Amino acid sequence: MNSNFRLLLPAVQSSKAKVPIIRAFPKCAYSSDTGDIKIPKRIPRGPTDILKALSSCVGVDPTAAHYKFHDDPYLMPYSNPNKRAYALSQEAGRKAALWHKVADPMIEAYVPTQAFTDESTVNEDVLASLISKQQVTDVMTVYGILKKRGNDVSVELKQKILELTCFYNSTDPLSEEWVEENWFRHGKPTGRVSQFSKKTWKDGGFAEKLFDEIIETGGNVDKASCALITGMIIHGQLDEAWKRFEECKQKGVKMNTDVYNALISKATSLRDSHDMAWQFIMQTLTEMKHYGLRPNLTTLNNVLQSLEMMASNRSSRPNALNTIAEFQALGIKPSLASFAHLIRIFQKDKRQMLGLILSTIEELEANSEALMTPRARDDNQFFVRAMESINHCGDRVLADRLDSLLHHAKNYSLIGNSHSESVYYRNYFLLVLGTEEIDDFMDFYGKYVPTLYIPEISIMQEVIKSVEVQMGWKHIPKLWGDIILFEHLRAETISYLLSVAVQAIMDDSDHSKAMGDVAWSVWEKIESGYLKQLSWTGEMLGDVLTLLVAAQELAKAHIVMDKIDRHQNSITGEPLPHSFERYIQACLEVANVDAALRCVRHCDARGRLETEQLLSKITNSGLTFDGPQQRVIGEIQRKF
Amino acid sequence: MLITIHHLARRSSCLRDSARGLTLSSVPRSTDSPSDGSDDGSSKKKANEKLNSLLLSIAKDESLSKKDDRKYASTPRPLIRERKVKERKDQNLGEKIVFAAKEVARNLDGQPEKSEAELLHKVVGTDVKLQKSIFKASSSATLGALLNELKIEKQQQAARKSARSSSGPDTRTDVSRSDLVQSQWKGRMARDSFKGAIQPQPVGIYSGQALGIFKPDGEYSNDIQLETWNQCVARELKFAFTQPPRNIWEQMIVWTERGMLWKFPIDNEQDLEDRPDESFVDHVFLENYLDDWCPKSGPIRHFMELVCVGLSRNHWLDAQEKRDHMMWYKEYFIAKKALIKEIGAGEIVETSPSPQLETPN
Repeated sequence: MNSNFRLLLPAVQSSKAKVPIIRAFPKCAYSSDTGDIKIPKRIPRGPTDILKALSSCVGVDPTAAHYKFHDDPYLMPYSNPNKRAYALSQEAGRKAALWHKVADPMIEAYVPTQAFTDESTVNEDVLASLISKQQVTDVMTVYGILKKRGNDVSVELKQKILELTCFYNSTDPLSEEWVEENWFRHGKPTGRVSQFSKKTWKDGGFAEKLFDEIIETGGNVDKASCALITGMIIHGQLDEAWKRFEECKQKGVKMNTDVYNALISKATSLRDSHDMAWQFIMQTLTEMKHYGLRPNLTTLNNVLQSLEMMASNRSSRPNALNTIAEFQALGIKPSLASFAHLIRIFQKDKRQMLGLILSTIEELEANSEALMTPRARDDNQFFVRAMESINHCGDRVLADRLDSLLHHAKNYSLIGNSHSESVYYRNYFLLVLGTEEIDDFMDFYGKYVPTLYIPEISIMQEVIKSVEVQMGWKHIPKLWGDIILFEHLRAETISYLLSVAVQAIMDDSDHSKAMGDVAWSVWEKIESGYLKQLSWTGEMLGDVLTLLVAAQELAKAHIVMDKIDRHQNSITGEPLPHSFERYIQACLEVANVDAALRCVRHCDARGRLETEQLLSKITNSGLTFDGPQQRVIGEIQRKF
Repeated sequence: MLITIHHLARRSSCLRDSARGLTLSSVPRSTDSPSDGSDDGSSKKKANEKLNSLLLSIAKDESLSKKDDRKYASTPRPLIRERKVKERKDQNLGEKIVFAAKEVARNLDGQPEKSEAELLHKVVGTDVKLQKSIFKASSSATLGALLNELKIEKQQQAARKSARSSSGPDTRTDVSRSDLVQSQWKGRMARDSFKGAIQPQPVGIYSGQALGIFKPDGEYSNDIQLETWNQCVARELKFAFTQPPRNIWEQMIVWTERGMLWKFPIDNEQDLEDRPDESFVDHVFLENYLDDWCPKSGPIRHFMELVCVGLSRNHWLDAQEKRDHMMWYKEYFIAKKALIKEIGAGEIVETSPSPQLETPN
């Protein structure tokens, strides 16, 4: 106490010199009115808490490749196909390796998966653990073995197996271990309520037989029916499901919320017209209330999903908002999936859609933490859909707000998979491209490419177009480099780039050197023969020739001219006249009459109109010609 | 009237598009370059000649004829530029536009002069440099007057805009395509955002009226919970939002969760479920078992301490086995008590063990 007091003294004296120290002390902030401070001996933490804290300190490094590619810096992938192939092969390697390590305690993740045969020792415990690990086919095998041996499986366990097989339609889901496979998967994952589902339900399969067994052995009819009917609905067996549903209601079997939710999601398939489908939804909701079933977030999202499928209907929009209000009154807040559905419902009216997105983003910014926690599967649809729609409306400010929301805290997991990530950035890039000057756009480009996003060929074309329109010539070498990196080597892209490069040197001769380098690089790339699908066109060769001449690389230009002349029969299209004109001009400047004559002879052989003009250029150059040269000139002149 | 204006606007934008393709280096510009500075007169003459020939060629230029116009109108921004118009034509943009507008106006009914002025006005927009260039190029006095008239209407606006775009020398009347594009880029941006930026119509997410089916205070208790089903739903939800780890810590979190790494805080006996009651203490501190019988000093004490150290470092034996070892020595030496005393290796006195030294069983 005494020492504390002494420490405070100088501060107090300097600020309130006149006030007696004793009186000043109780007023000061150091008084003990906050109660005793208890320092805990130990703060209990979960096993991963420290790691999570450390991880949150790591920001995104736009210059580095994704962590998963760090193992071998030499092989760091730069193109979309490579990224996919590398990530998946890494995981395939893990799959192939049989982790057979001696460890005490045993590490379950390293133990090879057990294959079950008739000889295996199995019991109910094994079955229960397989169920908890969602190994559907193994569960079915073990159940078959137990039944064959006459061992009895309890009704409760049978019910569990039924639920599992109905949910996954008797097929194995992708193991949670294979994150990369899930990330690159395009189709819809199993066990997901898909929008326009084909019938995938296995009629008369394991699940239906098991259901009959459960009923025979006196299991809970309510539970078994709920599982079976829901499974049938989500896997597209609507007719059978509806029949059973009606039967159950007649017999007084209780249905649960999952059944009704599934029915609502299929409203448009169960009813013909939009009006009838909406009526059906209302009836179903009323029925739920009648049976005392509490709707949940899935109910809300499924109603909106059905409305999304009726988005062309005028009344879908008010219906959607009314539904949200209804659930809001029940204390059920919409999730990101609900907003994703709303965007599609309002798609017809762009002004309203934009207003909707605006208010959604405001809502999300206000309650970031609560709303950004994934609560429904379709939550990962929101960002990609919102960016797509914002791009269509051309609202740059809103796009930036959405993007900063996505990169905030842990929200990035809401992007979905690699496919939706690409779609998201494609739209964002197009929007920025349309609203920024090219220099600023290229800064933006440098931030995201190639680590987060690799532009598709079409986007690359757009960027080149923008370079052309805005005359951002200095970016051409960078774009060419990226085209090689991203394996976008297509004839149309390259020829477009070359034609833009030609414009660049016409506009500003300062760029000649850089464009010449690009042209030679293009030449080497195509001539290497490494790209089988790529072949020269006359225009491309002409542009390369022009660029090399402009860069004063006459020796290289001769090589290109040689190619033009030699392969004139296999090359489609013709070089532009000015290419030859410039080439001949350059040849004459160094008094290389032979090369110039060769070019004219080529033009003559191809029957080009400007031959005469080019020839006169040579004859008027004031150079002297030797015998063979005179003969050639004479030969061509005779034709006119 | 409105329709014709629209039509004119569209056509004039076509004109601009076709002008886009024209070459970039204009005649006066080339005289600016220092290399030509010495023989100004002759180069000017040459340029004039060139201009004349080009004017002739532009009259023949099909790209500005009616048929082409229609094609452009359907595709306002041609993707692949027309090779034809890319040919070299040294003429400044103002002249090109005036000439083209004249051609178009001639094909229209009514007053060709007025149409031309309207057209030009639309093309010029608010670009001051281009306006000057066009004024210079349009020889007709009436046209100039008409253009002026139109100009006055928008003078204020133009003044505001010109303040923004007055970075370059405004006195120049020669406007090449690159100048035009550069000066108009900002304008294009504004136009783009105007064209694209749909004014949002506010939509309140919670503005709907409840359907009135469910009552918040109603009884909802009859739901049947399917345990395994809900587990599956939860698993799929979690999996949908699992992404490849983005740094080593996230990777370590995954490994920890799968039981491949030590959990924090580190516990050497993690997952050793078969010997849960053994603690670190039971394994390492074995001297306790000497207290009740071993001499305080002498060779026996020395030997037994070494045994304790050896056992405490042995990770192959469990605690019970270590205790058994200690007990075996105890019994062995007690059995040889007399002999040990006789040879003078110390005196073994058995005392009753203190309570905390008792072996946990």
